[in-house]
Amino acid sequence: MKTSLDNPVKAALAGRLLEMADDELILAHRDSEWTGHAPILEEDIAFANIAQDEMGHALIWYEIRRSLTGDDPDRLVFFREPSEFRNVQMVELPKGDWAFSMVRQWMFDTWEWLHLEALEKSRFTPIADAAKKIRKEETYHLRHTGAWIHRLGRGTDESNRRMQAALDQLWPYGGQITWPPADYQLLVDQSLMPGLSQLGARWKEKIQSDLVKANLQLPGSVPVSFSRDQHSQYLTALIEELQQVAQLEAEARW
Amino acid sequence: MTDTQWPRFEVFLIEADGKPAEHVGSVHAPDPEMALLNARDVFVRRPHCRGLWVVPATNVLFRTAEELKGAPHPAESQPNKAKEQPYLIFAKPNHREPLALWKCLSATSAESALGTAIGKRSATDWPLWAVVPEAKLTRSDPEEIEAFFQPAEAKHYKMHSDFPIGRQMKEIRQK
Repeated sequence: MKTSLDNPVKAALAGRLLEMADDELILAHRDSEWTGHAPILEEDIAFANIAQDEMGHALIWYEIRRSLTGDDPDRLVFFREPSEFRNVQMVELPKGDWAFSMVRQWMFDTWEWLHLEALEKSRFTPIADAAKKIRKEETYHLRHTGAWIHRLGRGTDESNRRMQAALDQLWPYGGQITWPPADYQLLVDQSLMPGLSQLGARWKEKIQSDLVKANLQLPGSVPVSFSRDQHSQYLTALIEELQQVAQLEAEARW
Repeated sequence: MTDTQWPRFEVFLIEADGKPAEHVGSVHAPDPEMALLNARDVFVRRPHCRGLWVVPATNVLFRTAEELKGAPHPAESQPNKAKEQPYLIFAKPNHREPLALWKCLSATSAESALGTAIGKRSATDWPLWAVVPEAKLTRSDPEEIEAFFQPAEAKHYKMHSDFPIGRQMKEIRQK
């Protein structure tokens, strides 16, 4: 099913794909900031791999969006204003310490793993196919970050304290992930996209049960829900760095 | 000098079904599970792979032809009747070929396993041997092949020569 989308549905789908792509892109950028700085060489390679995977997933979503709107992914990434990005704030926060980046990546991997499982059932074939492919990689990410969550949570007093601090800081941002964009219900009604509130509940449940095993606690604070057009103070500097080279010579071909 | 690194694990890789495990290198890790994950990321990003094995480096007996030359035949220097356990013997037939799984057998020690495996063959024919007690080996789960190894096969990698940067720079300079 590819051509029979009404214009309002097409616009809503393009909007949602942009959110998914931007999440992956910005997370990939933050992850890549560890390249050369991770705690050990092996993890440096592993986390750079994960960053590259997320970047690849971003491109997959941008390309599917291009099939609907014609927008060039490179233009979207390198020539958009920060205020036009639709990623959640969770992924744009500075990389923090290793615990912070691990908790963030793990929370996001857990979300993606559940979200992609639902997307595999999308009636829009390109999305369902992409979800199947991406989920294989996310299964591995989750294995990797899950192993770290467990070891750092059950490691030393300091590693446990840092992990808990990261969770306390990140959890309130969780609500934004399940905030539905404009006309999202159209997509749910046509089985193009899954309902987000139910997925959000499953996400919290899975996070909670994994945290208990890692000797960590889900913060008592309730995640605040707010729209994706609201960004933290950190996005502008991130986008400036991301776009710096491309904007030096706008017509360059790579 | 004290080593502040995590313990080292030797890594063996099975490239395809039916091919013997080959020694590919080593990784540092706090435990066998993390060693497997690190091995996957360090050694299986691009090539084909069906399985990975890791073993703590301290459990691997490496012997070069030089070391074996003139040494008493290991099988004969084992007088006691200690309990036997299975060992994997890896051999490198020459400098071009990998150190690959060659034989599996039960023995009372790594030395005697190697001695038995070499048997009447001249130990100095082949440059390198390794002996691994099977009990110390951690293998990747065949059920995880999809998540562990398949994504690498689906990826396309651009060589540096695929990017037209040189020509582009020239054009920019000429403007």
